[in-house]
Order: sequence, then structure tokens, then C-alpha cells
Amino acid sequence: MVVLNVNDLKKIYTSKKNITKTNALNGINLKIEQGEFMGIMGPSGSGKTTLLNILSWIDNATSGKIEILGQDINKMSKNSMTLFRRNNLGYVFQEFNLLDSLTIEENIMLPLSFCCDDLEELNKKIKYIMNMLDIESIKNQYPYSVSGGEQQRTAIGRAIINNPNVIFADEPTGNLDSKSSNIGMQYFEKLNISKKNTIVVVTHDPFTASYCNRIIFIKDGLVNSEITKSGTNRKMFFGQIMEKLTVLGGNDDEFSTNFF
Amino acid sequence: MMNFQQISFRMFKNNIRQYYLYILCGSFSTMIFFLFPTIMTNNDFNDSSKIDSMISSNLYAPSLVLAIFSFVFIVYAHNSFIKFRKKYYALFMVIGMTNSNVKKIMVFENVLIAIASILSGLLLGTIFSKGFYFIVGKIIGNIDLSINLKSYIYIQ
Repeated sequence: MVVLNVNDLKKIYTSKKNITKTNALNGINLKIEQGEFMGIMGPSGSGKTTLLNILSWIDNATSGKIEILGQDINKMSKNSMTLFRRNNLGYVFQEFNLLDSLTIEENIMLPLSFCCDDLEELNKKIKYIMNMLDIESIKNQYPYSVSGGEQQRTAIGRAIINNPNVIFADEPTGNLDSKSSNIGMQYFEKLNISKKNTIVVVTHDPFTASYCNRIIFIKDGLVNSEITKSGTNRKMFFGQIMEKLTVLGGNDDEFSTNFF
Repeated sequence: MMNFQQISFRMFKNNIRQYYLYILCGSFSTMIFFLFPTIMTNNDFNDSSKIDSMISSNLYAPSLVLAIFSFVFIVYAHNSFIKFRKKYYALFMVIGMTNSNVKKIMVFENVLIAIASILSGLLLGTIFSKGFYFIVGKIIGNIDLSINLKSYIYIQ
């Protein structure tokens, strides 16, 4: 089943008085199947965050067709869009965007508080998710008093509490050290395998990307190429990604001494 | 598990330090605005044998000007409050809050801020009215310090 279908997607940013135009996306075609763990990579300025924002309906496209679970967003009213978003989509942001005025537990249950359902069952669900993400012990603390990795896991918890079909993550490990980002990505992997959630991750870090099953590379607003993981060997996939990045010119030699 | 009302109340409670500025703006304009009715409803002030009736009957104009100014001031403060909260409203909507829920939370926060600023403004006004009476007394002759209950009703 195709979860996400993108056809000839274009995005042009115009400045206030139409003086400058920036072509961020120049016609992207993309299909994402149910249960895929997909990564979007590319050099900075290639439009990967723009693509994710449009896919997740935070931003509007200039032209093109986007279908999520067979629904065309251009044909939906604002209210039904919110309901659809609440039930089917989850987000993890780079800065996590947790509310400092609520505890970890309240942050996770925030999306549930908008719709009143059976409280007993929801309580069980919250407990289950906090157990799975290993944040049960800090549930009464505030986001500013826990570590970045724990904040990220809280953000993941908030994203998955509604059992969404698709989870979008924009540079989920951008603010973390390698160990916490490792743990975070392992939770994504677990979700993908056990619950068959579709996950779309934007990242520039090849290590983070090596957890994905399929990676598309974007350059100058177009899909440049894509690679698929064969088997479960992450190390080999990491090597493939590095090779691809070198070809794309996104990664310069980090130890080069010729700066000028 | 908490419902929507409880969550929004907790958010307000823990955010109150960030709202101080807006409550202060509100209570300041309430206070200034309160001082005029206290004079206007004062018994001595309305007694034409003590105070020239030309003065007592012409207090409406300055209080009208003051009303316009405080209106502009409060609207300005409110705008900056919305600007400050905008990021959070956007986040709520991304998480899955409907428009009506966002409106509810906005009204809820503003009503609480309004209540807090009116109460503290009336309290401050009551305290500072002595100073105001003193200044007015210097200019137009002594009047007794008494605050008529009517002036509290005037504000509303």
C-alpha cells in the first residue's frame, strides 16, 4: 500500500515584493510504501527540510500533488485536515519543541487531551509508551531539567501516542551526541519493525541515516538518486552512504588543510 | 490523565512568570483609570460650596482622553502577548489541536490575565489614591480622603 504519493512537487520561495525567487524544489516525484523507514539526505540548501515540511503539511507547495493515505490535501477543509493530522501523523522536531510548562508525562499526553476518550485505556497506553522509551522514572520532571536524549525520547513519545501511520522527523539527532542519537534511532527502528509505522527522517548525518532502509538523495531540488539497504548490515550501508555523499560533493575531506 | 481544561490551567500556572509583564501593563492602566472615578465620585469634590463646580463638572474630558490612551496601550500589550504565544499556538496546531481549541485556550489565558490585572489594579489604585488626593488637594484645595464604592463599579 502506498502511504505517501508525491507528484511533480514544486516550491518557490518569493521575497516580499517579488524581487528574488528561490526555487527550493523543482519537481519531485516520490512514493513511500507502508512500513518503510526512509531517509532523506542531501547537502545543505538542497531542499530536504522544505520537502519534509510540505510532506507533513506544515508548509504549502507552489504546485504539485501530494497524497497521504489516498487523501489529497488540496481538497480538504482546515478542520478535517487537523483531525486527519491528529489521527495519522506524528512529528519529531530538531529542537524537540517540548513545553517547558508541563512535565514529561503531560507533554506526552498533550495530543490526547484534545480529544476525550476512555481515560483508563489511555492511562495504560501512556504507561506502556513511557516504559518502552525508558522515561518512566523522570515522568514528573520538567523538560529543562532532563538530558537532551531524554527530551528526544519524550518528543518521540508525544509523536507516537496517537498511533500515527506516518512519523516525520526533521533532523531528530541534530542536537544530540552520538550515543543519545544512537539510542534515539534504535527506538525509531524498533517502532518500524514492531508496529510497522512508516517513518520519514531528514538528516545530514550518515550515521543516523544508516538506520534507514531506503535513502533518497536530493540535490538542487530534485531527487538525485536513491539507495536501498540489502539485508540488515548497517556497517555496509554506512559505507554505501559515505560513497554516495562523496560523489554528490556534500562531504568535503574533513582533514583537508587547504582552506583557501 | 488530564483533560484539556486541566492541562491549560497547569500551563497557565507554570507560565505565570512570563505573563507578569502583561499583567503589570493591565494593572497599571487599571490603576490610573481608577484614580479618576475616585475623585469624580468623592463627596467633597461634588460639593459646590467647597470646590468650584466648573472644575468638578469638567473632569469628564481628561478621563475620556485617558480612556483612549489606556485602550491603545492595552491593545498594544495584547498584540505583543499574542506574538509571544504564537509559537506555542502553532505547535499545538501541528500536534493536532483544532482551531476552536486554540481559540478556547487563548480566551482562557486572556480572561485569567484580565481578572488578575483588574484585581491588582484596583488594589494598587486604592493604595495610591492617597498620593493622588494629595496632589489634587495641593492644586484645588483640600478634599477629604474617602473612596466611594461607586468608583469601583465605574471601572466595569
